[in-house]
Amino acid sequence: MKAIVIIGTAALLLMFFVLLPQPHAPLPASSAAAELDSNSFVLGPVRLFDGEQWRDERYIEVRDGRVSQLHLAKPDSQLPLIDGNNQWLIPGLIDGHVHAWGDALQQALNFGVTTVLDMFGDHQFLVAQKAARAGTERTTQADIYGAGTLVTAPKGHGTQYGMAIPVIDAPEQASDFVAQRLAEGSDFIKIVYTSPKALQRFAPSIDLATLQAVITAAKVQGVLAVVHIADSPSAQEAIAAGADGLVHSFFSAPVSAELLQRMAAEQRFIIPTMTVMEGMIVQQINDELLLQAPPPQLTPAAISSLQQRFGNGLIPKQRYQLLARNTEQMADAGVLLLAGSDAPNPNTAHGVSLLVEMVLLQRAAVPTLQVLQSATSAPAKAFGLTEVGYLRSGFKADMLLLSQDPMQQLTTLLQPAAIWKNGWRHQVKLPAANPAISAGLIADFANDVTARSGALAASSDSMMQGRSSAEMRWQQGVLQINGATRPGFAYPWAGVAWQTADSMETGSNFSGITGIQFRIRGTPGQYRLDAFSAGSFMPLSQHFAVTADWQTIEVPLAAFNGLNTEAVSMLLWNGPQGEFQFELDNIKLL
Amino acid sequence: MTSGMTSLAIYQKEAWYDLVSVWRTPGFVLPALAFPLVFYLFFGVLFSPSGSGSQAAYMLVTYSCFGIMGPAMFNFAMSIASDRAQGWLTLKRLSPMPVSAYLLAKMATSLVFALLIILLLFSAAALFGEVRLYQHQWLGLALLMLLGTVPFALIGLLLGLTLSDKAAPGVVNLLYLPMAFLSGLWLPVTMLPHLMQQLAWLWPSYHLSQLGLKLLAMDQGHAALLHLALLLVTSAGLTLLCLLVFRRVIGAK
Repeated sequence: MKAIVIIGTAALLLMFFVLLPQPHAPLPASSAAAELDSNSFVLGPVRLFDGEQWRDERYIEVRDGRVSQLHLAKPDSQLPLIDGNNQWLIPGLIDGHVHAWGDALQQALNFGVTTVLDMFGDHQFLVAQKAARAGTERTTQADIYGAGTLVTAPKGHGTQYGMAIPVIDAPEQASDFVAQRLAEGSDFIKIVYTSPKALQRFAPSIDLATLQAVITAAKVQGVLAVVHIADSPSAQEAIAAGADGLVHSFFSAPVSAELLQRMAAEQRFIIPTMTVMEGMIVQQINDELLLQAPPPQLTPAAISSLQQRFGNGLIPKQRYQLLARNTEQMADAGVLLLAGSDAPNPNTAHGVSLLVEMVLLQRAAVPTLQVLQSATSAPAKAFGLTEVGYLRSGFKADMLLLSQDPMQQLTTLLQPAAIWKNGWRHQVKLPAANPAISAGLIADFANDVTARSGALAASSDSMMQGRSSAEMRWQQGVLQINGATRPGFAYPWAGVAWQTADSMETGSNFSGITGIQFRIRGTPGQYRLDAFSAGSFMPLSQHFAVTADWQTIEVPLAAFNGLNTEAVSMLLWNGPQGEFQFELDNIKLL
Repeated sequence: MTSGMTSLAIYQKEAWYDLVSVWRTPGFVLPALAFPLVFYLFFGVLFSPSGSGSQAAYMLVTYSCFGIMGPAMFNFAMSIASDRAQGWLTLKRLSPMPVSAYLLAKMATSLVFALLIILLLFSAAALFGEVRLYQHQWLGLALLMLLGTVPFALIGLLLGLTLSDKAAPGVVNLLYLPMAFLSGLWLPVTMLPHLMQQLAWLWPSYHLSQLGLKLLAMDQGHAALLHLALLLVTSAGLTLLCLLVFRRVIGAK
């Protein structure tokens, strides 16, 4: 009897559980973020920074690549759920100061920089990339907003890069000049200005009247005008002239109370670009944060760029303290600060240097919340961006998931747990290891001008509008170069270049090489061998004397101090000043 | 009959009579069964946005948790306190029945009530709340809630051993209701003020409900092992305390 009761109860219980209703559609199982192939989903639970502040909401609903809603609890939704594991979610970062070309936008996205503001570059590149930013298509690159061609004086800063650009020299041209920039596709106007009161003038500058005229023209035509300055008087005059923002800070003098007050009251912004200045003065931050164990996303070219220094190194270290103090005071005064790297200038690389900049801002005693804003909501506010910079309804689902609290550990930004661009999970494609090159003969010109790896070609500054020239031809088992080195370009060159690999972007790995040997004779004089790291356009040079008789020259690789031997892109033999002819033979690596 | 069977019979009889004596106390049975059911129907079903099973499912977990806590805490705390006061505990200890039979009987009663509450709430959820779960989720939740009675039974035991029979009901209520609220059993924990959300970590009921919600992928996302470990540590600590107090109680008598 007892047994029957027990069995009966058990059977009833079993029946109860069998009869409980089951879902018809499969439950939205929580899936690993990487598996999802859609830009509509719910992500959570996360701690959420919306660009401005930390929110109470724990779940974010993304539809078609845009934030649709934030929720306190898991919303009732058919959308797939991505487990946020209570990690930290912040908007994709905005680099407020870059110069983008080539694969810059891909490099940026690999570090979670989902939007860049280009402060001078090829307007055709800008126009070509701009189209993508309006939608939420799947992409491997960051969005770009840009100034296109900058506004500078004849021979002013910006003209030295070998790209022929229009220049301005009188206020009357301002309106047309701005109109032309807008017609080319510029999103805003960037002006280079140095005050006559500045202690150092590195290049010719437009005058104050022209600066005022250009700023006015920009305002009339409905766009922002931002100004490149490098010193305190120029900053004061630019702000007084009505500039919306300054795209660099300065370390020439402490920032004046008047400038602070005015910038804060009139809501002008500044992009201090401390990273690039750190590279001029201190040159430690990259070694500390990045180069000990370089993040795997860094390309060899990017590493070269991070190792590169501005030549002189003569600026006293205290100047950096002054820069940091200026930054702190601006933050204190309530001036809108934007994080910007100025990549790919020396000491910087796309993407990663924005993270370095944020660390430098934090070390300059800018509160961490403001540091996070400086790369999210602040640039959106400053430049009137309505698609990015916030995780709020309607904004693009450009997001970073961080495994640590950035308020406690800002460097967690260097290794985001996940990156979403336009709501698509971005899979970082790691750069392939460079092919190693082995010692031995590269070219003996016995039958032709081919090289064992890469290729040889005549090269001169004529490609950068310089006045030098070079031609090469194969003659009786040697390589003959005829040319002339003439002043005109800032760094004149003429000779023959060996591109060491098929790609200039990657170069070859020279780790196993100790030196370069070659036979040479020609017009007697001082010749120069330049070595280039991938991603760098600044050569490292070794000089040698050439005579009319054949001689064998050996240059140890170590002589090129600072060369990234893991990514050597080019070796360039330059002839002497004036007209020359030389012959090259038996190029070997040792 | 072997002595083993005899002692098994003692365990069975003690459990049966404990259950019968509790069952004959309507003042215990009615609130224990009705409160969670009515609350759940009210907050989980009626107030739930129509066509959405998700709030009803979330609340099913939290009110199940709320439901199973009650009988465990009350049965242990109140009957042990009154058994002590009326001298029953002394009498039972003088009888050949092992003390463990006495405690396991109380545990069995708590489990029966927990099971009844689970059956009631699951039925309400399925019939009125449009809750649809996979079989492993229904079963997993039921098993979790049955096992989850242990820490609350231990809390009840501790209170029963220390409080007078007059103080016990009041003190249990004073602990039960705030603990349920602060663990997010009545309202989702995310709707509580930030400080309370952090304090929720103190309560075993928070960890039990989070484990239950994890089965439905509705938890706050902390590691299951962390919740489990905290529950085990709490239970171990309570067991230790109970043993100490029990020795003292025996010594005093």
